[in-house]
Amino acid sequence: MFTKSKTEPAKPLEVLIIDDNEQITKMISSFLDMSNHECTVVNDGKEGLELIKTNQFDSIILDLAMPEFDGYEILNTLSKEDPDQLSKVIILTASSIPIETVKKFKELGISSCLQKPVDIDQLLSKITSVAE
Amino acid sequence: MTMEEALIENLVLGNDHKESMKKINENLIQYGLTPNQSKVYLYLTKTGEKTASAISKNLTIPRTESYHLLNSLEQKGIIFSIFGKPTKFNAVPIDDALTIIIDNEKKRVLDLELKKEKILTLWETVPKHVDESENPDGNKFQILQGRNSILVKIERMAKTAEKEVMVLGSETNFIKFYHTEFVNLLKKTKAELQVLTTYSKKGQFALDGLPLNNIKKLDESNRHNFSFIIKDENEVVFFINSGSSELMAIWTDSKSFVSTLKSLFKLIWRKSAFVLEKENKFSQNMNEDYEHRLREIEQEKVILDYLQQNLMVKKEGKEE
Repeated sequence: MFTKSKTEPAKPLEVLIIDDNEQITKMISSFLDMSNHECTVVNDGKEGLELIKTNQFDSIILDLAMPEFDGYEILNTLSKEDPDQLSKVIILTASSIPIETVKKFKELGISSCLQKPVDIDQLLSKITSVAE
Repeated sequence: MTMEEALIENLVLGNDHKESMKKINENLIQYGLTPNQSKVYLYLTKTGEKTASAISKNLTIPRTESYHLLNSLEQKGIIFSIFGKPTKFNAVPIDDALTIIIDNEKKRVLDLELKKEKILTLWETVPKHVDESENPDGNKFQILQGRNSILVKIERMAKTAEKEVMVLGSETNFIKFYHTEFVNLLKKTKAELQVLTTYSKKGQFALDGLPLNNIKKLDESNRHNFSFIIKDENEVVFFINSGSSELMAIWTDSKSFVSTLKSLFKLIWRKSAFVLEKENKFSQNMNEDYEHRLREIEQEKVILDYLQQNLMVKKEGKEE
């Protein structure tokens, strides 16, 4: 299940949040609303992938560690089927990621890889820069 | 071994460097020398000029054979004769000898390449008597001996593959192809490449250069010491662990064989995870789980603070 929240933003960006932590997704969605962005939230990897395939988002915030279908599987599928989408991805994860893996993400063209906790202004600026 | 033979072996190999000399001897055999040619050559490099009969006697090689050996080594250009009565023989220094052997091999390969065109042109003029369509399903089996002949076959398969190339095997087998064109050949294929392997930190260098999106990790339960490469629906090369140092494989276009191995591959592929995912999952342990949750909570706190601050600002704005 996913929920869609809307405000009336001046220059709204379409942001997709894929994270199994409902608390986090609700909170991110709230501050994105406050920042006049439009966001779609999913707590399941498979649903997230389907939404990426069927919609156009300006930015995708992706968690890596999720049960069943995780962020790595989404990245693997995108790199094969729609690699252009990877430049919109901002990885936001609580997992510790080895430097080699970060390098691999860069090779794949992934925009940013942030480790939680991340400063909100930093996250907002990443979302804006990805959309540009 | 007689006392005299032991003394000679001691003289040829030298007690202190017996192991090194043994290895050199083995390597010279890889350079195309027979064991006895290598023995004679090393004996001359160690002892200096000798007559044929002295060589025959000291190395306990029959006299007629020793003449053949000396003649063949002379033709290879790595020993030379000194005129006199009787004729003596001596060896070219080992670095020069290796260069000479390599140059000869290069010339031989070049000659073969030139001859290939001539043979093919001639072949075209010969009328065919065999109906090539008589075995359309393919049931040919070919034993491939040595790394080079296996690589040549893999190159052909990778180049002609139209749909898919599937590679399954333990790193132990792929490491044998390190420093060869193996990875490049797989990379060049236009077909979809799928690699299933025991991807460990120690051995992953063997497949360095292959896109990680194409590699899945073999589970513990599937870590059998077998390897094969499938091309489309019609060819497979599978490696045989013969126990000898030389690599061996069998190539076949048998439809039933290819389809069986392909089903096996697909089954394991479905059950396996991509290398990127595994890397993360393997690195997780209890401590990381705790840290993971802690970071999630910290993130929640950061967002809450942000939301609170912004709500306060809005509220203050309204009150004013």
